[in-house]
Amino acid sequence: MESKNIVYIVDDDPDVLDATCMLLESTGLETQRFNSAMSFLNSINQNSQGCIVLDVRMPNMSGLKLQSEIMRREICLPIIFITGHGDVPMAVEAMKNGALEFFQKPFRDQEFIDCVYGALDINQQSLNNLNRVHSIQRRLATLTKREQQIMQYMTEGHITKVIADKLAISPRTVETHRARVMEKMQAKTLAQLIHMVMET
Amino acid sequence: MNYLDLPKPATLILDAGGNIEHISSSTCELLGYQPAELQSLNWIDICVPPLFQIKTKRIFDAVLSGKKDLPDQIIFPVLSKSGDQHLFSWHSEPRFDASGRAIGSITTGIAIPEDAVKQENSYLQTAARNQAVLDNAIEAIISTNNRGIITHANKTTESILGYKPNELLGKRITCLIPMNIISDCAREIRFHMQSTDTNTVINREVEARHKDGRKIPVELTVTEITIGGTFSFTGIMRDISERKLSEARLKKSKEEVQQARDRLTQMDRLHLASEMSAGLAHELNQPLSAISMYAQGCHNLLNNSELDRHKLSNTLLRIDTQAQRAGEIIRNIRALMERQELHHQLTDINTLIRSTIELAEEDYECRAIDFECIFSHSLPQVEIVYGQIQQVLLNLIRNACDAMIAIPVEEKSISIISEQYSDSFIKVSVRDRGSGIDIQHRDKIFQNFFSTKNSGMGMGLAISYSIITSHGGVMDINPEYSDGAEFFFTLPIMTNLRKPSHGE
Repeated sequence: MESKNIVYIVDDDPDVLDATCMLLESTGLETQRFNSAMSFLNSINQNSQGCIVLDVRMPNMSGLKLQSEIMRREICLPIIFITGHGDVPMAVEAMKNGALEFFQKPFRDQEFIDCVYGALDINQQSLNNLNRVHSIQRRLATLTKREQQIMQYMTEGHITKVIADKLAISPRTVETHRARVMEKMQAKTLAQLIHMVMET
Repeated sequence: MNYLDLPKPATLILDAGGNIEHISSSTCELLGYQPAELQSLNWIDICVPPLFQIKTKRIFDAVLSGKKDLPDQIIFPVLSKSGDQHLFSWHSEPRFDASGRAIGSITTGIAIPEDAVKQENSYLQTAARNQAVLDNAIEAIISTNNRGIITHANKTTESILGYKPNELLGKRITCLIPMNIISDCAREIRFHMQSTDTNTVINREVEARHKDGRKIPVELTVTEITIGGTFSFTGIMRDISERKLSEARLKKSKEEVQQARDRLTQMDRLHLASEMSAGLAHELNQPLSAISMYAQGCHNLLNNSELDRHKLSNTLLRIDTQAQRAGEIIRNIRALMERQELHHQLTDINTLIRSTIELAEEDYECRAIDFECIFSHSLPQVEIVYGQIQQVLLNLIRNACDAMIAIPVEEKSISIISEQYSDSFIKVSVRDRGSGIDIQHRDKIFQNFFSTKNSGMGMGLAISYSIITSHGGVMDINPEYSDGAEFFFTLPIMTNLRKPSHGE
């Protein structure tokens, strides 16, 4: 379930917008351009993947306002700011709110490109994490109630005999359940199983 | 011998118009005035009985013009506050400035007791009177014989030069005045004696030597006196250290004023320049960033294994367009600057206000603020220096923003109102919801360097005020607006330029 990595670029200056897209596309990235905060918000959702490049100074809704709106909508894409002003308090506010980087025009293009790639990596990583968690959760959902009980005791470090005593069943039955849990959770070792349970 | 119990002599210093610069307190007391009461009043008008005024004026003028044949002592009555007359014996000497111009007189007078009037010609009394006059002069008065030996010095000599009068008797004048100055004076006096019959007065500023070795700046007046065919000289030395000091102070403060003025002009220029360069920087940044990114993009295209020639050529054309855009900005700025110095232009004030708000919104502090425009439409155009009026308005908006720094964002609001003020003026007002203006600051608020802000230079309103004034308008505060501060300015309408739709 690999979704596309897109760089979303929001800038009210059409020339700068075009140049930014062209630059990123020339490195093989896919971009989507928006000339206002509103048009961007209308087309993005929580499933969007990639990163966002925002111009700070835009009419109607500034980059900073857009940033808080993006966070309010729980869209977790990394944000890179571009500004024409050397506006320190604005940069501080943006970074405090979790912006990845703050570029002042004119900037070094290569640094900008590297930063965009970095942002995409970060997004990919969190996406991978998310996916893994999702798949573990799916596997957990396949366990029966008894198997969940057994797994609980296993991850707490109890040996088969103890588990059998606690549940008042035969050690042999416990062994069978253990094997099923390991199989369903796709864990090769007990350590792997514990790791998975910790992650969810 | 009651003349030996002479009352304290009166000293009186008058300027060239006969106005009182100084009068001794004992005299005031005698005449029934408080010392401050007489300060700067005209002595002749106030204190000389009407009957004697014309004559006194004539003598005063003669003293100033340096006439030498005046009697040493002149006896005149003086009017007290209550109208009583007191008889005084007066002696006046002119005072000169550095250029030798008479700037007033120094006069001493001795009150003559009623019963002494009859004896007024007595020799002793005259001598005592003379001595009193000399001793109470504020100048050091020193006489020498024709070989430069000191034959007489008055009491004041001690306070100026540190020598008691007796100490100086028999000494050479060169112990007080440097040799070169003495020989200079002597040469000049000799030269004058040969060429003219008149008495010579030499007046110059020199440095006299105090007993303790200090150099005292004095104004030296030297006159020659001939008695029985022998020459002697009288030097009058007035201590001018105070004056020198105040001259130096004056010079310094003048320099400081000039420096402040220079700074002001420079700041004005800096202010404009920084304003302009901030705008210019932002405008130019856009095409420059675009060019930079396109260029890097082309570079990347060339490095790709398959060269997209179409895309490359397309991007190169866009680089060209952006460079043209940058050039256009610079051309505009240049045109703007030229216009700003020379030309008034016909302007719709509402357009100017709108563009100024846009400019203001580039400021971080102004961005969160709600702007309310209350425009009167169909306003006649005004002929103004666009950039200057924009600067004034921008300044008022920024002040309004600063005034509301402490209030919650949702309450921040600036209203800008344009309206017809009278037949020949339009008015623009800027209202904020800050704490308003303390009425006691109202008069000072348009002055240079006045500021209520912690970091304010106090320049903005002063510059704005002068811009509006130079446009023929006025700028002030509306004291009746109480929800914050309201500043307004008016601009004259050119009557022949009114829109036809306006008026009847």
